Amino acid sequence: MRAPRPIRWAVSLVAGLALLLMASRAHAYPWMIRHGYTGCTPCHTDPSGGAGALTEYGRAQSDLLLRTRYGATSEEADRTAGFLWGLLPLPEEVRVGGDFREAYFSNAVEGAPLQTKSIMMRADLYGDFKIGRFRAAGSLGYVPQGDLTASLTGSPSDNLISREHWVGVELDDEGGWLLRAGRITLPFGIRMIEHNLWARTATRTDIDATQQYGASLFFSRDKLRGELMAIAGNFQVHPDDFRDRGLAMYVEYAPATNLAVGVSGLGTRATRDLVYAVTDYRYATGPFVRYSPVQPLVLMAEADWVYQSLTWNGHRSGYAAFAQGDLEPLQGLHFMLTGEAMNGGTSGEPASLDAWASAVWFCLPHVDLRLDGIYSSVGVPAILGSPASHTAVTTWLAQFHVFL
Amino acid sequence: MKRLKRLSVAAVALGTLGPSAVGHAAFSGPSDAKVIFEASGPAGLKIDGRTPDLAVTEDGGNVVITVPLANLSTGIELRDRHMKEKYLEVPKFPSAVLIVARAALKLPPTGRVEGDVQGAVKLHGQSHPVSVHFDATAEGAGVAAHGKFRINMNDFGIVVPSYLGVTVKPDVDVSASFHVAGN
Repeated sequence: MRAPRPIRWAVSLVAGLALLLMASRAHAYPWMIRHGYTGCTPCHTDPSGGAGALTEYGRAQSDLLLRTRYGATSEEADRTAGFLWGLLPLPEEVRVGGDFREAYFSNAVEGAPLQTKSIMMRADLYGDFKIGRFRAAGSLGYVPQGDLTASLTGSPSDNLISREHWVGVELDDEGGWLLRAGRITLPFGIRMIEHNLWARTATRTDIDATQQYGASLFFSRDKLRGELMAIAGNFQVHPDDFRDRGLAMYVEYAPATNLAVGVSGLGTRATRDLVYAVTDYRYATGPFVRYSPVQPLVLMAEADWVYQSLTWNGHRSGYAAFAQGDLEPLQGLHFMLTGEAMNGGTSGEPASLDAWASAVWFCLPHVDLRLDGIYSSVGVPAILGSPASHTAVTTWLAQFHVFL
Repeated sequence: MKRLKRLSVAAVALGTLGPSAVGHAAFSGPSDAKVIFEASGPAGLKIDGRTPDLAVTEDGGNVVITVPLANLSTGIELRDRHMKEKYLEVPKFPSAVLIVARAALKLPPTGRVEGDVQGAVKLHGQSHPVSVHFDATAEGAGVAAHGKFRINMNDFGIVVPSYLGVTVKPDVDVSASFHVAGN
């Protein structure tokens, strides 16, 4: 006996989201603004953050500010902050690292069987090398499933992947300008570790596997930073018809060390869209903000308008938005509440809403534990006589993460 | 709603010495004091240091604004320790001092004044002239003042901070605001 069509629609949607959940996560902690870090460059080799290796300074901050410290907090960073817990000292110009993230996943879709499994979310090595002003960065990883758009081996499962690889040149002495080309995370919105937020999936701008090839220019001067990227397509996807071409950018202004506001924009064209397989013009734009009224609390929000023009399939004008509060009552221990709203723009599609309750504990050097509970009310458009409806989805995700 | 009271160190001092209530070198307060320094690093890195400690006195025709540095905080404990012990050497040089000639301070009995005044900053055991931009507003029997100036760490013999490849720029913007009630 088959489930009703709306249920199957919702299950398909949730299965897609589940695949996204299964995919990897990297470092991306925009709530570090609570320590006055409005930008990413001091700690991340990727100037827009969220991807790639940490700098030596960033490794020190991960020990001093990120994890729970069990002794005097004014002590120097522990030597274990270094690569491989400090066992392999490296020159300043060689920044390498690795991530391993394992998760237990439970997903209950209203009217469908409970789905549970253990997932290897990430097993990546990455590096960034600097010679004078010249830079080269890349990553190599293994995924048992998912992340096909980053695949090097092109199998349905068990792939070698590379999320990013680029070469670049710093245009000034302090790294405030970086011109680079290669496979790069799209500059758009807040680079959240929660890469499956609807604002990231609807705009296809996560830090997981939606990177594109192209050339970008990053700048950071005084209180302003931003990045503009010319997108040439994802050359790990074949044939060429499926490759997006266009532009993506963000600009962020930080009037104070505890406040940053920005705006993003994206416009692409693909002869055949990866999802809809027809010519697709996609546009997205919206504001975002990060604010830390007091050091233990960070508030973040982003709202994006998303528009698609699909040949022979009409136009879709929708949105995706989220707001998140991150409370750190004890250094290294975070409690987060996140609310989301999304409408993909399908005719008659009701809004989807969800709420996250999350806890993360950066308990040891290079180690953190995370638990997410997500309740979603997924809007299902009217399909073949079935009225528009909502389907409830409850997801639990427990994660163990270690980085080298 | 109570009006926000602001004054710059210099402005404050200046405001305090204006012909209105401030003319007799007696200051009660200051209150609502806030001193901020803003340093910057590579690629947009900003570091704010703050302290609420500030004292205003008059000495030999000068207004002297003293900022004890012991409670100066950037929000990161280790950075504070480095700042105080390694760079500012607070145990040896516990305060920063701004000195402005009282005669240079002009403030009307009512309303707001804004301007620039020359002064001297004593920091890290060394003294260096500065130009202070200030504004001061008469508020009842007192003055709310705000002022700002820029110093260069090299002028005061302060080692430019550098930590794991991140080096702070030597120019530092200093601002202060406070309210002083005149007698």
